[in-house]
Amino acid sequence: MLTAGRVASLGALVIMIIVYAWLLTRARKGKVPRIRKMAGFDAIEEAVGRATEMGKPVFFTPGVSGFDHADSPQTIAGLTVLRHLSKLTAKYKAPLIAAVSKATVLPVAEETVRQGYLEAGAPEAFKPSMIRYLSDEQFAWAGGCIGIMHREGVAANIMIGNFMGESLLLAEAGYQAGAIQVAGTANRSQIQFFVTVADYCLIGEEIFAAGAYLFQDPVQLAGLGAQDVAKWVAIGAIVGGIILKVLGMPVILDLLKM
Amino acid sequence: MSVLTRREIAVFMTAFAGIAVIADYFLKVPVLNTAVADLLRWGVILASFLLLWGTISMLRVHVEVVRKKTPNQWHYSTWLIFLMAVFVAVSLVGGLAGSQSRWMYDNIYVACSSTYYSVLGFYMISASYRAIRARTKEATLLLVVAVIIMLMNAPIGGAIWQGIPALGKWIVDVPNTGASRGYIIGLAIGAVILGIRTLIGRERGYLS
Repeated sequence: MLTAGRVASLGALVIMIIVYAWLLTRARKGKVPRIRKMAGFDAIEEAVGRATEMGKPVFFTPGVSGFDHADSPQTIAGLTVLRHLSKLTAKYKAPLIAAVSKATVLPVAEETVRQGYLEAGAPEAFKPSMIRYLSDEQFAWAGGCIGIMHREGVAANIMIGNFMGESLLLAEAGYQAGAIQVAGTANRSQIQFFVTVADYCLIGEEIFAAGAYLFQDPVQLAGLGAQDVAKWVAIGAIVGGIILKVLGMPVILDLLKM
Repeated sequence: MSVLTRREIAVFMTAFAGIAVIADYFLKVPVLNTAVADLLRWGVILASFLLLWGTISMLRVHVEVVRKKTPNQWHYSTWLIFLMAVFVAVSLVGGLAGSQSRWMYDNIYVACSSTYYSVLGFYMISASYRAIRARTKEATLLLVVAVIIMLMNAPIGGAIWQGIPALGKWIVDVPNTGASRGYIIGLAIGAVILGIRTLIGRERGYLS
């Protein structure tokens, strides 16, 4: 009944769910994990403030992926940032442009921004045209984003999500437009471009901490605690696996092949 | 319908679809596997409908720009609407797989897309220049490693000193691979936890 070769993955998933549930119970009792300062998330408010002062738009994109791919957690993380960003743009009355590359993301992004404006007490300031669907095609979408950055002279460029070959094109376009840039992706082959060009960068798994950091929700903070426990388990498995393998007992290796 | 109810429906549908797909990945149950295959097909159909929504949204934005004659923008929007109409007309007449629409796609979109991608080479040079100026310890390390890797990949590296290719290979195979694997493990764990949060409806950022 269980698919061969995936038993170890299922075991790891079950353990993570149990650890998360335990930390969730603790969080409900007020024992929430502490979270370090993350300059990338803090800089978003600074970016919106700058855009307000300059009277120019804030540009946001959640990347090239939608919800039907292994990269979809990055899109969800991007939309979480969009929720926070839209609250800030509503609060400071800064124009917002959010460009999406997948039609499936469009209605979710629209609702996210609408909700952000509602929570900020400015539902009348929300306009559906703030969220722009450009194209499902990678470079057509990238070209559209670059065009918007140049034509509308954006003051802030915030890019959180999955980015591929277009990452440097977008970051350089933001640089040329003179925008303050906050960029983050979990894509290993593109992160170096963001580190190089963006003013603030969120590296890899940091983008998944968006919900916990920006909303300080105990349930989401408990998730970060579970992440840390899982990392220690992974480190233990690696170190233990090496020692056992050297001793001629590849127990962990055999376990992972199950 | 209240906001609360709408949210609960969204959470339920996300949890139902997500748990079904995860179960399909781990379990070999023919009924479940067939049902999930159907569910994924529904997803594809739904995504196709959303393309129509996307097109309407896009037209709404650009028609407004043309109507208001927004400076520096309205002529681009006019061009976009015109080209969109041409593509739709040609595809409707000759079919999406027809030679005319194929020709337009290959000779307009693919050509523009390749041009964009090739611009990346120039951007890489300017970005590298900014990144590898030795202003900090980290930037200096980046500069040193970048020079070694460049020399490793160029024939002149081995000519200068025979150890450069071996050193470059060691940097790629050992510190780089080690750091990459750590990055991937952290990333995978982060994605799984975010997935769990989403399935139980506690990743609230994108949910109304």
